[in-house]
Amino acid sequence: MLIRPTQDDLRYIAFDLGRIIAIAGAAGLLPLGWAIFRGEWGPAGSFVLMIGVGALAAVAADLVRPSRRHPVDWSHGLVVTALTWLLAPAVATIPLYMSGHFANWLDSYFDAMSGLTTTGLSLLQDLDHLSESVNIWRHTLHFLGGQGIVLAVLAFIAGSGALSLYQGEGRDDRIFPSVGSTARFIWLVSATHALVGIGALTIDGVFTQGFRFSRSLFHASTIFMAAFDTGGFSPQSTSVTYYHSAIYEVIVAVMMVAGAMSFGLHHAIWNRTRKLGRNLEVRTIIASLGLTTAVTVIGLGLTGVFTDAPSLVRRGFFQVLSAHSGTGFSTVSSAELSRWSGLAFAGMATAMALGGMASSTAGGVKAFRVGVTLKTIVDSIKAALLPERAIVPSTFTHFSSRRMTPEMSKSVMVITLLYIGLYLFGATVGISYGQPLQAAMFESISAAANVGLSVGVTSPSMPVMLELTYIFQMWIGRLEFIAVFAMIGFGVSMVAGE
Amino acid sequence: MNGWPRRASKLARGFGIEIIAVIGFVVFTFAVAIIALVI
Repeated sequence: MLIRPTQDDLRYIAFDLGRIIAIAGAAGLLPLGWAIFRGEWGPAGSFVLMIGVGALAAVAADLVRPSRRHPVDWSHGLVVTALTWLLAPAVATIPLYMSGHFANWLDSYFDAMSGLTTTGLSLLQDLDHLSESVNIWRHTLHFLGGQGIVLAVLAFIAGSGALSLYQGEGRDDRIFPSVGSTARFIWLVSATHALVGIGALTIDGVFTQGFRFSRSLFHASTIFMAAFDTGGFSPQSTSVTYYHSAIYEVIVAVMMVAGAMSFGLHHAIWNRTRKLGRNLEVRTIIASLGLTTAVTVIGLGLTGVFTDAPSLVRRGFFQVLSAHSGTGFSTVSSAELSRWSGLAFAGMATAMALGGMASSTAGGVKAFRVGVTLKTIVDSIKAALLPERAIVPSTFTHFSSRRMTPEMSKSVMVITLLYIGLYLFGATVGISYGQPLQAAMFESISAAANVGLSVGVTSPSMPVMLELTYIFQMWIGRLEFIAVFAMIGFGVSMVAGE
Repeated sequence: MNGWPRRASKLARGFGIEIIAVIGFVVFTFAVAIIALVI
């Protein structure tokens, strides 16, 4: 029997939602500061408006403040998370829409969703003439989304019910006993990488590319946020190719690797935890990255797209890493990427679909689930070959030795199947709008796995239904299904509950 | 070793592993690329 939510339930949800939206709006202070610094008064006004809308959300939250103490309730957290990721882009899109670089509001919402989900697909027109402050905002969305809007808030206001908010965002590794301290560790890792990454990119910009310091800092900041948070937006329409610098690409590659690593792994490395080589997730991602790189590079070699090894390595490696980490930076154009057929397409599509590590900013199925799925298959084969009464003990290492339970296998395989279903769903919609199978599949995986590489299907002239499909894929892919299902269940219980 | 030196060494270890991972994969890709171009 479904239980109809009470008015108090709705108050708890509205209260949390309002506070989180307010903080997301307050993040506009960063681009506002840049707009004032650079004298971009038009965008500055749009940021003030957005911050004002966030402040109104805070006031509204205060008006519905629950009378009693906030209860620990799993479903509230999940519903708040799912709604946050739908409403935050609607607020974040205000400066984007007002920039005049979008054909309509839905296009700007698409970009805000793409930014927050760290996807990187874009419908923005004439990117090369976009104001710096709005560009900073687009990339701040990556940073905010990558860290997790809810997680960002948790770092400061962690309270009861925090765990469900945290796990609602698809993060299931608690590095420290408390969610708050875990969130603070994630911010420490991010801040350290920001300092080093932005510093290195700025130095390269100044000394090897002749940028002025402020311009170099602007490019470094935006590229860092998109790389470490595996987003993929870039301040220039030619993406990372704009810089024509192998050193720049290597620094970006290191940041993409760091972004695709789980924060649990960051913690383990920082604390010299031994036996990382036995970690199922580490083994899986090394194997899958090696395999997809090999398949793609052999495919490119066979099709003759590149005729010399250095070009093949530079383009092939960067593209596969960008795809596997879910970043979406490109060193080849969409038109060129659409010509990567056969094995090269298979390698790239698989890399995108598999994604990075769990509890990282990357999207996709994630290495932990891939590893557990493969291990389940191997165990099933072993069980089939052994006598009926034989017991097959199954353990694996994931920071500590863990026993594989049927419940774990089941939950992992359900999510894996849901991802595959989501990839096929988007591809089917693409095909129904006349897109070739390969392009429709590529773009669908790119959206659902929050990658952002495009073979040209995503464009301002795309059909509205296809645009809505990609928005849905980006949203549900980022939240890893459960929070969205909880939200749907909550909606149903409001109507059909007793 | 305590305080900032200890923290700095932790950070260096983290970045070192990330850089080694990228270099390792570049070398691996180079080997595969040469094979791909030869066959």
